Amino acid sequence: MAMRNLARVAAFAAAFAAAAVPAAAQKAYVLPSPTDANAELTLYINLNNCEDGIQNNGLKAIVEAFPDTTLYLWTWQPAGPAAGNGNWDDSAEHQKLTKVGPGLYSMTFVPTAYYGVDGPALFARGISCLAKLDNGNGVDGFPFEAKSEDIHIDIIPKLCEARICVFPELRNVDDFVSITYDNSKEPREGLQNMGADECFFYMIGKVDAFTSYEIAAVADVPSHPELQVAAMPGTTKFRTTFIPEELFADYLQPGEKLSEIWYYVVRPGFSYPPGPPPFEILSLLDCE
Amino acid sequence: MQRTPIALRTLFACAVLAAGWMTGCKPEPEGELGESFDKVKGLTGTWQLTSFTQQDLNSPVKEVRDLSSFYIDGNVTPLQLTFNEDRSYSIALERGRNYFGEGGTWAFDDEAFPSYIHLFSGEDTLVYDLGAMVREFDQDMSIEYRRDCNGTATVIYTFSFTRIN
Repeated sequence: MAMRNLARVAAFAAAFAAAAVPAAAQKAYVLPSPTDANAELTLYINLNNCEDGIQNNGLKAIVEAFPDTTLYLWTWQPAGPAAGNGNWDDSAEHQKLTKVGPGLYSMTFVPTAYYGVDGPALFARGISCLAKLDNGNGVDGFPFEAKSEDIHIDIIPKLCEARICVFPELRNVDDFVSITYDNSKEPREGLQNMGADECFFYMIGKVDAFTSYEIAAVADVPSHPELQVAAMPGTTKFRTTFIPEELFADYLQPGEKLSEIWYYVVRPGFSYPPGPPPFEILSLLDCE
Repeated sequence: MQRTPIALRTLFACAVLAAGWMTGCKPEPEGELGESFDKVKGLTGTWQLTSFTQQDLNSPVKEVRDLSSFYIDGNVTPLQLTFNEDRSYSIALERGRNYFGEGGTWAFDDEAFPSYIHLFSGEDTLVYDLGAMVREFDQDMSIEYRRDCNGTATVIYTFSFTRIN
């Protein structure tokens, strides 16, 4: 029995080690992964796995000589931070990294808010960044600039378990798109326990900041079958699948292309007090 | 320390014996290889859609969803593609989005080892992945439409067909 337990412990330790090695061996990684674009993630930069001198970078040697020096994050992908990086010779204070351990630094943020991008942009582009001193220029006595090499991290999307989920993660205007609404996660009392034929979406197709099309006014939504969201038998979920450019084909003018669909749940006889709720936003890719 | 060379020699001898034993057991090929099958004849015929799926390549589990109901409702005849030996093709579609043009001519990217099928239809040239090479006696065939956006793979639509003619 003791041997069996020992074997189990050994197997667990081996599996744990195997799972841990990839993250530990990387220059940078994010947790949790898979990642929810709208929830907090922690970005880790492991200088121990970085290499000085490959991009005129010498941060590792500086940090080894001065382990308590403060480091800053400098990032440009999926976009520059919404609040900015600061200047190369004077990083913004909000870009300060937290020292987690020897050579290991982190920063925690909500990616969509921090970068000002949506989930598809985050997952398509990933995160590109580097670590640096407040002043990223050279330091006396050390070769190269006070920065790490450029680091890229692919972000793996998390399977959606939210009230509203969209499939696929990245979609063009002519892709099939499915929106799944889980009524059991509905916080609004008047929308809970929906009947099979009671779920609809009010939808607006956005071309740009100035041009948008409404398929039907909220009061008329229940009389538009294309806006009905079908119940999924045996579940508390409702789902609609459509091709965006076909759904809005009667409204789009020649040369116009949808960039987003804004929508919210509608139930006949229910009105949102004191006014419409925040829109859910479905982003569409802009492919060349 | 002194035992290591002996252990190595023993190990080497075992390896040589094992290799010889395995070689000795390998049957010699007999007869001649038949002619490779004609891929054009394999595809020639009429194919009817049996399923249509969408795979999300950015889902952590590469989730696949069945969208067959957009083409197959049990009432109308599902999508049919006919590939002729003279390299013309036609399409019969009563329900669902048309991904195959209005008909025209077709070609493989490589006659001997095709990976893609080209559909030349009017002004469009459509290029799709072949799920597998099809022989004359095969009854199933699939065509994959792989999409990307600015270099990032997004989804794969898979059309699965059965031969009806």
